[in-house]
Parts: sequence; C-alpha cells; structure tokens
Amino acid sequence: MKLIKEKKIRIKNENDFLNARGIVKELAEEIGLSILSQTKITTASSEILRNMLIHGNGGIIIIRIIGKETKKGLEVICEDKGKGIPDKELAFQKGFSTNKSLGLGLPGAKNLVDEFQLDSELNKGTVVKLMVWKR
Amino acid sequence: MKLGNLLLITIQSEIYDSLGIKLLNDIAETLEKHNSKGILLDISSVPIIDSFMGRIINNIASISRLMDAHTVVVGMQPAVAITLVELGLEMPNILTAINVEQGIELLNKKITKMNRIDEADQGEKDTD
Ligand SMILES: Nc1ncnc2c1ncn2[C@@H]1O[C@H](COP(=O)(O)OP(=O)(O)OP(=O)(O)O)[C@@H](O)[C@H]1O
Ligand SMILES: [Mg+2]
Repeated sequence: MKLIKEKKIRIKNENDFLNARGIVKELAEEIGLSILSQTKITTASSEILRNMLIHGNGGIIIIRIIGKETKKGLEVICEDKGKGIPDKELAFQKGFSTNKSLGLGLPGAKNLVDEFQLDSELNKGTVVKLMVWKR
Repeated sequence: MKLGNLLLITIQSEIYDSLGIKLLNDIAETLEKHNSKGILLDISSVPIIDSFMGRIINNIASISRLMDAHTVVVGMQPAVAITLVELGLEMPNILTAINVEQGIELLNKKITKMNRIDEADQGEKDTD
C-alpha cells in the first residue's frame, strides 16, 4: 500500500463540512471513479461527517488516495474526541438514533462503500474509516 | 392552470443544513401567501443528497400535502437516485419528473384531478 495524496481538514462547522465533502468528491474524481461511485463515497462521507459534527462535537477528516498493486483507492477517515458510541451493534441498526433522527447514517454509509470500519470508545471518541476502490 | 399558480424552487448545488430548514419555512409561507397548488423542486444541479437533504425534500412534500398542494421533484440525477436507495432513504410520497416541462404537466394533471374530485363532492352535497 502506497500513500499517493493526503488531505487533513478540521471539522468544526457546516462550512468545514461542505468544504471537506467537496474535497472527497474532487479526489474521488481524480482517481477516476465513476459518477455513481463518486456519489456513493461522497454521500457516505457526508453521513459520517455529519455524525461527527452532531454527535462527536466535530473532529478531523483525513482523505487519502492509496495505491495498491495496480489499483487506486480513496480512503476517508473521520476522527472525533466526542462521547463515543456505547453499543456499536445497536448504532448500526437502521432506525436507531439517540437524536430522534432517522438512524440511517451509519447503516446507510456502510452500505455505500467497499470497506467500512468503526472504532469507538466511550468518552474517548470515534474513528470511522471508509474505503472505495477504483475497479 | 398557469405557471403562476405553481411554485418553482431551484436548489443550488451546495446547501447548508441551516438553509435547508429555512427553505422549509419559506416554502410553507409562500404556499399560503399565493395559495399555490403545486411545487416544482428542481434539484438537477444537486450532486449529493444525503439523509439530511433527503429528509428536507420529504418534509417539503409532506408540508405541501398538508397545505393542499403537490410536490414534484425535478431532475434528480441517476447516480443520486441510486445512492438514495442504497442509503436506505425512502421517499414514499414524492412525484418525480425528468424536467420542468414534464413536472408542470404532471402537477397540472394532479391538480385538475383534485378539482374534479372536489366538484364531484360539491355536486353530491347539492343534491342532498
Ligand atoms: N461520531 C459519533 N459519536 C458519538 N455517537 C455517534 C457518532 N456517530 C453515531 N453515533 C451514535 O450512533 C447513532 C446512530 O447513528 P446514525 O448516523 O445511524 O443515526 P443518526 O445520526 O442518529 O440519524 P441520521 O443519520 O439518520 O440523521 C446516533 O444516534 C448516535 O447515538
Ligand atoms: Mg447520522
């Protein structure tokens, strides 16, 4: 695995959020993903970024272009130092929300990407990793 | 039915969350003020619809129904439509059209149908 490009953005408000989402889309386009794949990874990132703002008090997004053998991938990591997720299994259930929202973000985002990883520790924070590969 | 009775709303490519909520209020007020019976919601230049935006669109449709108006979503990009399905967001009450012209046609059909039902109701009452 080779790191080709990396961008780090601090997410504190809506403006950062939109800016970061734009960069995800830009880099997705740069590695030659189809419009559909670009839309999926950007929408998934949007859900995770929003979770970070609403539930995690903001944080950092790291967007990377990765090379692996002959293929390229886009990795999106969202890291916050918020309250963490007490029950991960529950959080992934469609319809579960501590916010009276739709509870779509986590299960939906997971469904939209090739690889999905969530690590969370109570009162320490949450890290979500999304990955898509250019086929 | 003239376009004058329809409300055309174009959503710009990037919309802030707070703006989305403001949009909802503006639409409700405008519907009431002009007694509009239809909303054309043009999203052809929106590249990303996540659950938040999707919910705003659903809410616009629900509010318009409560105010006796219909909403047609115009120009949803195919990639956006597929992504919404895979995200798991349902849009049960949304009418869609490929472009504004077809949207107007669809709305006018809906509205005439509603008027006919109203007239039929009226007719029944008259014969009572
Ligand atoms: N970064 C985070 N920090 C702390 N808790 C989180 C974080 N992300 C998600 N959660 C918890 O997981 C739950 C489920 O998240 P999910 O995104 O699926 O739903 P939601 O954000 O509540 O609603 P929606 O995304 O549909 O608006 C949240 O309600 C919240 O309790
Ligand atoms: Mg969410």
